[in-house]
Amino acid sequence: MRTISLGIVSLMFMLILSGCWNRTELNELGIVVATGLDYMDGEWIISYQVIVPSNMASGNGGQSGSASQPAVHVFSVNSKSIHQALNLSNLEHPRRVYVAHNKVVVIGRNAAERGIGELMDYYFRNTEPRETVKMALTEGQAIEVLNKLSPPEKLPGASLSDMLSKESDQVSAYPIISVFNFALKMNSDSKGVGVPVIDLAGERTPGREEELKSEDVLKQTQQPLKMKITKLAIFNHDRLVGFLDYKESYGLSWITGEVHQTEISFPCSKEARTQEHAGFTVSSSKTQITPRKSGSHFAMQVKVKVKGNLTESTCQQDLTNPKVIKELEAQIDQQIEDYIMTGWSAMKKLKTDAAGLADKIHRKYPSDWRRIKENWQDELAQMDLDVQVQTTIKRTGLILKSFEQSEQE
Amino acid sequence: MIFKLLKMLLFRSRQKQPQVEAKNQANVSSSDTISPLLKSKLAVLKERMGTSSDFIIREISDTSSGPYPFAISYIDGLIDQGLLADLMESLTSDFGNSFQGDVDPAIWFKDKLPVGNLNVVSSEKQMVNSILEGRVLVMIHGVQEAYAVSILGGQRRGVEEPTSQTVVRGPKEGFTEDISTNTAMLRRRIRSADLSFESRIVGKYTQTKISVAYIKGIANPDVVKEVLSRIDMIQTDSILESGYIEEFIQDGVRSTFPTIYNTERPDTVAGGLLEGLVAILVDGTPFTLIAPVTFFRFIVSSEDYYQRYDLATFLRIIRFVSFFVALLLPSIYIATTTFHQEMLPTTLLIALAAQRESTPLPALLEALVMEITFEVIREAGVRMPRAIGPAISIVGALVLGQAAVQAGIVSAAMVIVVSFTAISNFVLPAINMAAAVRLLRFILMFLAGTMGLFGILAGLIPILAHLASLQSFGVPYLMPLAPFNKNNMKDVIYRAPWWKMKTRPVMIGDNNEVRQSANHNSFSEQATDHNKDPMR
Repeated sequence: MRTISLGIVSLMFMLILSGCWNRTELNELGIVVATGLDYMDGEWIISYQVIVPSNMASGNGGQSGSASQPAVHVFSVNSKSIHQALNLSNLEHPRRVYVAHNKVVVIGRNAAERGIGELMDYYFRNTEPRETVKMALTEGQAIEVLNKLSPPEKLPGASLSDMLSKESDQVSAYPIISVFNFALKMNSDSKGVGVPVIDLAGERTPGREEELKSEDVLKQTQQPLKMKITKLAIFNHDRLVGFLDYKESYGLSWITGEVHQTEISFPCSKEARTQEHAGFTVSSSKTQITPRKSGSHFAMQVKVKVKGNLTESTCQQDLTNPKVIKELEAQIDQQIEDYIMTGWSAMKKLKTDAAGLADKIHRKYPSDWRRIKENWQDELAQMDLDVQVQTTIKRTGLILKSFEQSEQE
Repeated sequence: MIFKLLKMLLFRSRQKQPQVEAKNQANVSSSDTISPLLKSKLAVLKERMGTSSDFIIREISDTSSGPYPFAISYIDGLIDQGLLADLMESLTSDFGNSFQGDVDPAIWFKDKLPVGNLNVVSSEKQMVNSILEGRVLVMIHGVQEAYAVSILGGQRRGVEEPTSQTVVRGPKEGFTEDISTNTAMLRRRIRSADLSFESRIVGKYTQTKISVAYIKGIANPDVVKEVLSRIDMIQTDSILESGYIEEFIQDGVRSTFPTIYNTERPDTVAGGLLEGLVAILVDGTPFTLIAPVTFFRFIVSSEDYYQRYDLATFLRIIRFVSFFVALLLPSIYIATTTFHQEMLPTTLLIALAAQRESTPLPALLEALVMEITFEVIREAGVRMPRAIGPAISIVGALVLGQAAVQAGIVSAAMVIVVSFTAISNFVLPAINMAAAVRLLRFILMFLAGTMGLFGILAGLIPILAHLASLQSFGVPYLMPLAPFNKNNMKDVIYRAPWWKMKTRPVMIGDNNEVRQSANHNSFSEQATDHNKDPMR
């Protein structure tokens, strides 16, 4: 009995004295929403955008949230390795930097040109950073994006992340990419990855940039500078090789089948006047890429099936006529094919397989792949694209005739 | 080991029972025969009962109205005064008028006395006991025996609506403190000759009447025998409530989980009896025990059987959820906010972090303080006089709740967690199960505060193992789940419609399995030759 009770008491002390070994109260955490990655003079510059919780919540009884302080605090740490920055951050930050809730990692151009393999290693080796973090690139320094507020949202990092995913869902020109997918594509046969580029749109002057760092900017209805997704950066393996503009990147999205919902405007007919345009909203699309052997080279057959609704029309044709609908569908086919070819040629110019074609060939013709693997870049330059688009207009909207048309009658 | 520790801390071991039987016997034992002399009988009574003011002896020595002097003796307040007057009337006039010298007075008593329940008493011990039980003892000079007449009466609480287990639909009457009223309530519900009551008297001083009820042919005879033998083993000087009996006879003596169900609803007891359970009624308390029971009976309300089965199933699921919320919510909150912040959605994490900015205590301590505050308020609410009830709610809700949050001492989220936990705890229909959950909650909070989710699991696994090891009168505590039984599952997580429950639960009502004939279906299923639509 004595030994049992002694055992129990010692167990109790073990429980208490073990002292909650990795317990962290919420108010000891610096929750990071966005991370920036820059490279300069042989050192990484990691920037953290940390939430200031008391300026975030609305219904808090504790502090009056009236102190005019932005909801985030940004600081940078120089270090030789990415993970060490977390450690060194405590030289200048009172809280433990907590990156599990990081939403977006912004890569500066210098770092992208140097290569970001270390970032992948950091994400995959450690448990706290998550591989689902979205990636973005900026033309200047990453910290320049992080230290700007992004009205109307309070958290710029969350705003960036939401913008990237909304764009990917609604416009589909710059498909969203997570660290996980980046690593997959980077290490695939094609090695090409596209990352959306975020920049400050508007005339950049030092004064305007300063303004965007202050909380006062939240009081204005229109900001002089604004975060915007401007283009797509193409990486070959872990290194930046070039950029695609809106139209090229959009075409690439059609090839890779990453179009979810988007709107296409197209001329009513070949002969139609330029202002006679119609709008078509894609509700579903499917892209099928099949490698075809032609001689010793390869050709790619791209079959795109698109379904959607007519959402705008100034056309003179009679929409009740099925033939007219067929005509319009052909116009849309033409438009999409145009996008695809633009994207294709831009991609070929960068000599990077951002559409993942190499993997398709490897899967279908494994033995041929071994042959062409070594000079894949030349092979890509000689490749032809056979595009077949098939569009179906499901609905023409609530009205049939355009207003212009009814006026003429 | 942790659980052992918890058991050590929480549960008192079964009390040592000194061998008092011999003493008990010695005290009560007296001569077997009684003297026919009235005077010596009265002397015996006076010697045994002393000079208690409620002990009354009425001696009628006037022989003009009858041939023999006689005396009656009773305890004031235990008998019906009106019936006593009738008894006196017949004793003084009828007895005198009709009694002829050549008739044995014993025969006259047996044949002519206008009362229902008459016992012949032939020992001094019985004489005293029958007076203490509330009978009127009639003693006649020259007759060897005495006669105990049962005209029980006196002030008792009437049948009222049960206060601890209320229902929306279902019978509104509850047991009272009087055991004969209670047995009558059961008898009124089960009008079968098979319903039997076995009586015992327990308690050296209280002499409490205990009635064990079961239905012959349904209840397992071994369980009945076991219940009776465990009651017979009780050696104590007092039984004031069924809780005494429960602690004496329950299986898991060191467990915080109850293995005997208690209720003040006669319909719940009747339902249990019909499933093959054994009920233990104790005089002096409306709370009746039922055994053997499994864990899931404590989640079930008797109303489940009166409402439609779909609603009953929904409510049961709500109760299961509440069970886990009451057990785990504070510990999960502590674990996630102090160890596993990555598990929370970002926006929730930010909201919680903002609230925690100004709170001085660590989450574990904050939760403990709030939980203990709530327990104090709750205990005050139960114990204090009704008239000051509103004061507690104002102090509790406004001062402690709102002011603590506004002062930044406690975070609002913690108040939400603690109140939701408290409300969930009240959802459990059985108070003793709710109490077990309340106690274990604190242990789990400590474990969560020191080891996070790992600690919660380190607490939950021993609890589960313990539950699986418990038994109630031979029935495994987690019965239809472990060991799994498909038939019993019809009435655990969901309640099957009545026409689907054709058999009684296995292991309890094995003796007489069939509840309704196997080919008896719902009306709509057997209605092929009925006209479903009487309007046609």
